[in-house]
Amino acid sequence: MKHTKNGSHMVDLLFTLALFCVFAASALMVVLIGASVYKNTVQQMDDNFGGRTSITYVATKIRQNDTQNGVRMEEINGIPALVLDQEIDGLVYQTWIYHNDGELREVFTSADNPPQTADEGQIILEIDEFTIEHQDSSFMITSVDPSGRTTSQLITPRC
Amino acid sequence: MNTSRSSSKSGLFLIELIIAIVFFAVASAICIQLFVKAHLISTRSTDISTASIIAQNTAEQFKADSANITSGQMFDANGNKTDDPALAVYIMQCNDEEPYSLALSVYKYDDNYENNKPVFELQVANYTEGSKATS
Repeated sequence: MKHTKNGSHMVDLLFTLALFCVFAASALMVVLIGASVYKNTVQQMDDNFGGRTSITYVATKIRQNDTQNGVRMEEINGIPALVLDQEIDGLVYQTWIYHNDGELREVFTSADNPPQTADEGQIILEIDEFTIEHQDSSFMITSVDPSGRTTSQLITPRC
Repeated sequence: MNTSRSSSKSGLFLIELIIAIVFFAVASAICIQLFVKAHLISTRSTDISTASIIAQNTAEQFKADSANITSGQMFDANGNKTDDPALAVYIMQCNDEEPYSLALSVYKYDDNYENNKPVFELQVANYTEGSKATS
């Protein structure tokens, strides 16, 4: 058995060192697992937010303005836009919702003064891709979040 | 004398290290349990979110054209329709025994999915003119 100068066994030191290494490695592993779980959770929350928020916003707007001919599709400079009519104190107002240059935008204006350019709208949120299509009696809203996940929602107005 | 003092120091350090490791083992076991729970909750939240979109889309389709709903339709991880079982993550069952209502259940797709609890359930009633919805 090998002894050090002061007489203690070399294996004592090695065992203690090995134990300490196991302790350090385990601590590191727990931290890494925690970081990975946190990263996944945040990623999933972001995906849920990115995919659903824009769709839910537009779906709620359509349901809010679900009146006879109150929901239709128009264009601003070739960009398809959802137009929602609303009557307030005998005057007709319009809400224009459209996607331009990575941003979902909204304009609220009187019916006789529609938006002329796509830059006029107020930014609702930033989203890579967002489309609204009119299919028969329904509207198909599709969004693509930054991670490339596509979410679609079908809305059928009652009127 | 010198040897015995050094050996005693080393023994004390070893005991201290063992106590620290036992404490760490208990703490890390609790942490890992919490991590697993957090992961499961996060996955479940994504499942419920996607399944609710699937059920809402089907409800809207039912509102537009009640004859066009098929039970057993499969959906991928994003909630889009698919006919490929290899891509299927969710499957929807519907019960349309009542003429103007529909009970939708969205399951995680596997060979034994009907014996599992649905991820999301939705009861839909179509209140059209002359209809008498029961729910």
